[in-house]
Amino acid sequence: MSDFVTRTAEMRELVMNAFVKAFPDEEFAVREVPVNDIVIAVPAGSLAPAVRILVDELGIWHLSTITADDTGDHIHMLYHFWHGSGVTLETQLPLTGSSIETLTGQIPGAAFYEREIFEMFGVVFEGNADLTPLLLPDDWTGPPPMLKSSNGQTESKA
Amino acid sequence: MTKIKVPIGPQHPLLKEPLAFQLTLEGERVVESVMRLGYVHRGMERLCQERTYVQNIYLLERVCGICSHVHATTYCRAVEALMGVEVPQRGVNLRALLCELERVHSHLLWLGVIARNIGFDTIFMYAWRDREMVLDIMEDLSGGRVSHAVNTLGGVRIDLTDEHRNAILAQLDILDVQIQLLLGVVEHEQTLHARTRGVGRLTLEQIHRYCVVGPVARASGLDIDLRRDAPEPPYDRLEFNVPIHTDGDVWARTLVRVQEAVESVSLCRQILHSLPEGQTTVKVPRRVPAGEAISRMEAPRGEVIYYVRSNGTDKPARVKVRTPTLTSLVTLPEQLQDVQMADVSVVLSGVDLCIACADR
Amino acid sequence: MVPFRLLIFPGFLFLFLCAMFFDWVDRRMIALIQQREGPPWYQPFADFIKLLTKEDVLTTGAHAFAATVLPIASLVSVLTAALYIPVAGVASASFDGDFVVVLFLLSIPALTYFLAGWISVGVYSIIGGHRSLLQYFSYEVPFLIALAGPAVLSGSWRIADIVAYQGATIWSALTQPLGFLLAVVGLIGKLKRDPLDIPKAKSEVVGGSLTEFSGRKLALWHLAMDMQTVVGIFLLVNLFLGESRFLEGLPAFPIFGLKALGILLLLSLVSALYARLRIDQLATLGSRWLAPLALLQVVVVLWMRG
Repeated sequence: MSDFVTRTAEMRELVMNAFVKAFPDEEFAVREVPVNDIVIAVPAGSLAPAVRILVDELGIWHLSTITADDTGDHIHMLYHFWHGSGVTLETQLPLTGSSIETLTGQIPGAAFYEREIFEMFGVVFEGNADLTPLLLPDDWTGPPPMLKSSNGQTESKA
Repeated sequence: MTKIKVPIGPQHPLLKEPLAFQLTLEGERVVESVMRLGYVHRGMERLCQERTYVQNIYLLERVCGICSHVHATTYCRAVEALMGVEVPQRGVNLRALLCELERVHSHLLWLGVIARNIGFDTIFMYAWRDREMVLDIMEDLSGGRVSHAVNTLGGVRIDLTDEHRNAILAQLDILDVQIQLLLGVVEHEQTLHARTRGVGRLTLEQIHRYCVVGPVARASGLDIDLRRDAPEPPYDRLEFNVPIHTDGDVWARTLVRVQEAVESVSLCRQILHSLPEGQTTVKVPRRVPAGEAISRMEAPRGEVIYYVRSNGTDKPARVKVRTPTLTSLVTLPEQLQDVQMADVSVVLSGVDLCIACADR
Repeated sequence: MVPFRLLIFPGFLFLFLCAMFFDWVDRRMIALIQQREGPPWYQPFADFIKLLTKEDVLTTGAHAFAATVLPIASLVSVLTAALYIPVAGVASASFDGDFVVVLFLLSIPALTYFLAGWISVGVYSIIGGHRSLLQYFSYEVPFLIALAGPAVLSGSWRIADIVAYQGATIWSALTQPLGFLLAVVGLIGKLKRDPLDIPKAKSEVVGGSLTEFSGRKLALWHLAMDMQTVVGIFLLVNLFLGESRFLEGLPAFPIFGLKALGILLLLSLVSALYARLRIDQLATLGSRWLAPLALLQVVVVLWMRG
């Protein structure tokens, strides 16, 4: 019997009910994303508490990865969880000088993901003592390589 | 007792790919380990933004040599979901066939590697001889032993005639017998037990904390398998077991992987017997509409997840890849604590390192 | 006569050819078990010649004089021991007490191997040398006791006499099977063969003591090890599978060859069938099994003696 059994529709209901109860003053935008994920927009400050709800209350502890995406206007952070179907928490951060609370206190497995995002995008994770380079060489002096501004790319629009 | 610093890697007979460890030993016991990744970092995610969607299939296949097909398939699934295209069932089945063959190949390769690292050359030779059989099947199917390039957006570019299918089935019968022999060795051979039991133990609680996936997690008792938990065709109509063990040591991981190989051979047979007729590929729109897609699949080492964002142009705006090896690597410092020097090779082999995957 | 015996048979040339031949048989046998072909007959010669032509490098800080002398010392001690070990009844020299001298000389390679690791500066060398010494302490005493069994039973410390005693009675392997088993296990440890190749485990310590050696020095090390295999097997053949009145009349040399190859094939089989042990597992094996069994064998021999 699998340890992960929630389907997309159930996931949406489950998570939204918990969030509405925990953050009664906030509105969360939800959308469904293929292949079978729901994406919930969360303000940057509420991200760590929201993760706490997922992990402690709902038992959704499996963090697949943390994605950072330079959309040209801001850095789009996505925290992908999975429990039979996917639930992703997304938040926006400013392009430079941004920081967000670390998840390594609750989920030690986030360590490598945060290190990579720090070196590639320059996002500081407050509370994470070990933000040493993961993939870049020790003598890397350039700007964070995945930021579109640092390699002359712009976010092209169709 | 004096402490010696022993470097393992980036070049070391134990490692197939460059990875650096700085171990501090007290006598024969490891007291500290520092790991350094990034020797094979090629900047794949950045390169994906400069190539078209079709070019990216070929690029992403080269993230890893052993699980190349699964990377390409996961990516294609994400892009096809963005385009709203449904791949015909025959194409889906052929993709799954290659995924399962790749799983067998990966586990046999790994069994050989760990056998060599514990000084058991005979099993290394046997496992890699059987692996040759799988590579021959894959070569007949796709033209490449390790890099297959069978995926296109909308399906696969290969097809099977009935004769070819029967030939593969005959090979699978032989392979089944050989893998059963290897399973027997893993289950009963005393020196293998002596070297791998009790080594590198991870509890279920540690698995939860580090979000480990794949055979390493299954060997510690976590019941997770994306093929069964999020059933996509053809897995929704195929029968297979997911081997779970609770010991959490390297021996349990060995058992899980070899048993998975047996299951995969059975899955290949089922797929071949029930291959639907029809097209293998479908025409896709010229432009990928703007949007996001998140695709996950069960690679030989666990869950591989792709996030693809399109902004309507011919090149993706973001392709994020998280490979399963990264989740195992995070547990290594804990596994290597207080371990004997001789067990370092067992522990490192036990997590099935695929550094190219981890570094991208 | 003496130069012939020293240099040709059963001296240096014969031993050299045997070393190459035994190496080939070993590799071929393991290959057969692993379902592959294995190298052609000239492979050991080719390996030796290739190593002789390679560049001889030594790490900075390694003791250059010791690095040159140690492989030579290893080879010389093995060859000197071979003087007293009869091949099909023919020995270069023989005297009362040569058994003890042979055992002493055959322990020198273990010491030189450890020292080689000690004087090379690399970390792997030091660990390999360290391990080789631990391994030596685990197998050496049971090995010596097991080998002493036939000597005690025959009442002589001269190898030729031990062989003759078996000719008058029966093979020691049959009267002291436990001793034979311990001697074979001890030989595996002495020769650092799988499953006891712990000091030079490639996936753990890269090359052990010899990691930093190359070129001619490494060629001599390998030759010393191959010769040690030959001499060790010959010693076991003489002590446990000596003359036999049931095989009288048959040509001595081929019979001797068959016995030696028999032991070699046994060693190859064991190498192919087991994984490598860990050093602490070997230490446990030595203290929990080998040493007590050796003592048991001593008691049995003394009882048999009357």
